[in-house]
Amino acid sequence: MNALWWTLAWRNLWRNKRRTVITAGSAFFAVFFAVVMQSVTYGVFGKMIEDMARLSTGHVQVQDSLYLAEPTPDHSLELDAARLLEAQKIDGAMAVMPRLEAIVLASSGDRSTPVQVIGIEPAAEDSVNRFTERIRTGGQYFGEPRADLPEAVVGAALGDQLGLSPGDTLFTIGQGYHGVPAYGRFRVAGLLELGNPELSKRLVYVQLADAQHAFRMEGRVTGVVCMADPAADLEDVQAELAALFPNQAARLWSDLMPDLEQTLEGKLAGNYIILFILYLIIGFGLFSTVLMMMSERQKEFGILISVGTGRRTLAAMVYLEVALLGLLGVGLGSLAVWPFLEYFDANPVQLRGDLRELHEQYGLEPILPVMIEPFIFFNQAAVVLGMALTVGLYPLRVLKRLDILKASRS
Amino acid sequence: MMLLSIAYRNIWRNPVRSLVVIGSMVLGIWGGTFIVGFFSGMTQQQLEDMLRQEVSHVQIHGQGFLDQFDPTDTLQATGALTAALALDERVESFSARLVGVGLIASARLTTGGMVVGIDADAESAVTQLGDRVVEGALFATDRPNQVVIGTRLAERLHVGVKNKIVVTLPNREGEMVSTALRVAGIYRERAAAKAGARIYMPARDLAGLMGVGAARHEVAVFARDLSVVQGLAADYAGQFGGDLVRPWNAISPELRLISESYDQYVLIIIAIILLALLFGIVNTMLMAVLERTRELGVLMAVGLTRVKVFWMILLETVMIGSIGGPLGLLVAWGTIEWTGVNGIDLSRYAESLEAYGLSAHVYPTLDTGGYVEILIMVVAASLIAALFPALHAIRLKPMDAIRSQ
Repeated sequence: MNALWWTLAWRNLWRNKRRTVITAGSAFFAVFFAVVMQSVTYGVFGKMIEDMARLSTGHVQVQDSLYLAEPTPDHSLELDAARLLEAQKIDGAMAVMPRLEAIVLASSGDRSTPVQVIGIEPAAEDSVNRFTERIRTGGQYFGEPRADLPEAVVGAALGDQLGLSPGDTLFTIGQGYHGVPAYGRFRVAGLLELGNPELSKRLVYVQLADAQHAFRMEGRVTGVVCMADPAADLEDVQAELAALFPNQAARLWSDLMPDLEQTLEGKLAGNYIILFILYLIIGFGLFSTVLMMMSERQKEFGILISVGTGRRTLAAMVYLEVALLGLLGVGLGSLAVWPFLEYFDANPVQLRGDLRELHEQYGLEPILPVMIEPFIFFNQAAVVLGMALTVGLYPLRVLKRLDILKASRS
Repeated sequence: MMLLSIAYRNIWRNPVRSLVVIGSMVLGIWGGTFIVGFFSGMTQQQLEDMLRQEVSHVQIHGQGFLDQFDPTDTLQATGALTAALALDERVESFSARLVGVGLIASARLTTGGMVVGIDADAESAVTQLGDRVVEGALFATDRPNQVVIGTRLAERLHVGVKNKIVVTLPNREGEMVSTALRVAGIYRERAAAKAGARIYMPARDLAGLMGVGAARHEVAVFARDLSVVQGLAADYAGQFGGDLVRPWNAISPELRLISESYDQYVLIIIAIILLALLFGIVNTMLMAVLERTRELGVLMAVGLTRVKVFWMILLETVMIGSIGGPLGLLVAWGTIEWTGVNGIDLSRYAESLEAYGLSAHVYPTLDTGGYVEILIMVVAASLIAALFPALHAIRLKPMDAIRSQ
């Protein structure tokens, strides 16, 4: 590659500024649109995962290796306080909380229904989910420990179904460690407005120590839940937890909620189709500007070849021109879309109408989030640059077949 | 008239350029229309699956039953209601069910779930339960105490066909009663199904267990046509002693969520595609004008007014649009019709979709209104796109333009 070619290509670009601006503009907007689309898609998915992980499984959960297949008390793990402290110090782990979950039959008066009892550390869970703000008026999130009965915080829909109000007693029957029957008696401290109606209908929170006592599982838990920092790499966190708990399994949210992952994957597949069509339209826009450029410059090329420029030299130069155009557009496009997305990250688009209502019902923020991650920029920029480099092949073909006489006279 | 013919000739003076613009319009319209068709197909399929397999068109419950699942909250007049439904012309099928909430246990695991008592034939007519049984059969024989469970529950409980499970639930006195059931079949559960496990047993057996006799808790109705559903629900609402009658849109907020988010999503997609299309047209038309700077200068110098120059360029774009627009729609219509029959296979991108009961094939579809809307939007977009070059053209100074290269 010759330095002269670069100089010539660069000068050619600025000989007709307007044309350059228009062509580079195509690449610019191509990157812009593609990045915005992907950023919104990943943003929405990221928020869905975040919401679900916060309320149910956590981002990473350490479990007994058999628990996923058979969630019974027998497949629990012994909680080592020292290790828990170490886990909390892992880079990227925002909160690490032990939990004991079990499905039992809960009853009050003559009404019974199956529920999921979750033994938690109240303060830690509250810091993640802000439970104290969601307690229905009249009740409270775990109060002062009292000697008579352990306390329970009950999903509001479940409480209504069983006719419970704060101060009432809730009975549970289930299966404890090693198959012993486990009976529990709890005083309802408060009703929890969980938003998500499915969870509200089936969750009962009790203190971890009380759950351990009720299920005859002193010192044991069914999982250690880790909420990760939004910026952290989940797989790194998973690896660190796995190293810390060598005899247990550290599972990602995607293993714990395979349905959610599948649903998202299906939606992503639909998204590829849109992206593909967007690329087609963008690619054709690029192609048409290059096509126009070639037909405009027939005369110039004809003369250049007739005064002795080799066709190959000319072809290389034109290819360089197109490549530079692409690079310029893609580079500027990636730079320009950044502040645009940052703006919408700081001031998210608000959802409207029924959709807004539904989000609020489920206790979700009614916004259209965006995700700003380098991989989105690089992927889209690479695809658009690739298109520009492919479109650049067209002038080569034209130059190879150019009829000098006709071209010079055009 | 003169402008028309000048504009027409201008288009074909440089066929390559015109074809490029027509091509990008065809592509844009095809792309936009196809995406809308794709999503409308995907959404409709999802809605139909949910209606067919879970929600049905109308559900009727005993008053208060859904709040507490109290076994005594049965329908007021089960017999009269089912007799009326059987005679109703608008009803395709219906299934009267008993519903209990209880614990389901195998030797390995205990979990909670809904125990539904059904008549096998009626239930299959409404929710296609029989067709969805992938192992064993739906109550193959007259033997008592059989049950059909979902694939995921079977996996969690570690049970297969012919294994036993134990069901514990409250009877009408509020006492807990248990019974052992043998798994007759395993049905495929819809992936997105949010509600927990649902198991089916003959209504006769469950009625005996709960002590509720011939009364039922719930009737699910599937109508012959979606358009009669609201009227159907309204007709039954007042009758039969104050039972709770709800059409599908009142039952499932999730269904509303699907169709709502579809509308907003499609709007965003169309906006992005139109912007890309707009930009492509502005590009080529602007180039076309720049290229003709000198010629436009000459035209103005010999007396063509600016207004006429403006209309000439606008007319060029409109003519190109009236070729590109219909052509694009035609191609889109062909693609949607073809893929609507043959389907688009997404299984390559989302491997195990079908294992979860989600269809990995999408069948695009679009009604006439959809085509018309897109046509209007594209015409508007190309008119806007034509404004920039036309405005640029009338700002030219004839003397400078003539002298330019």
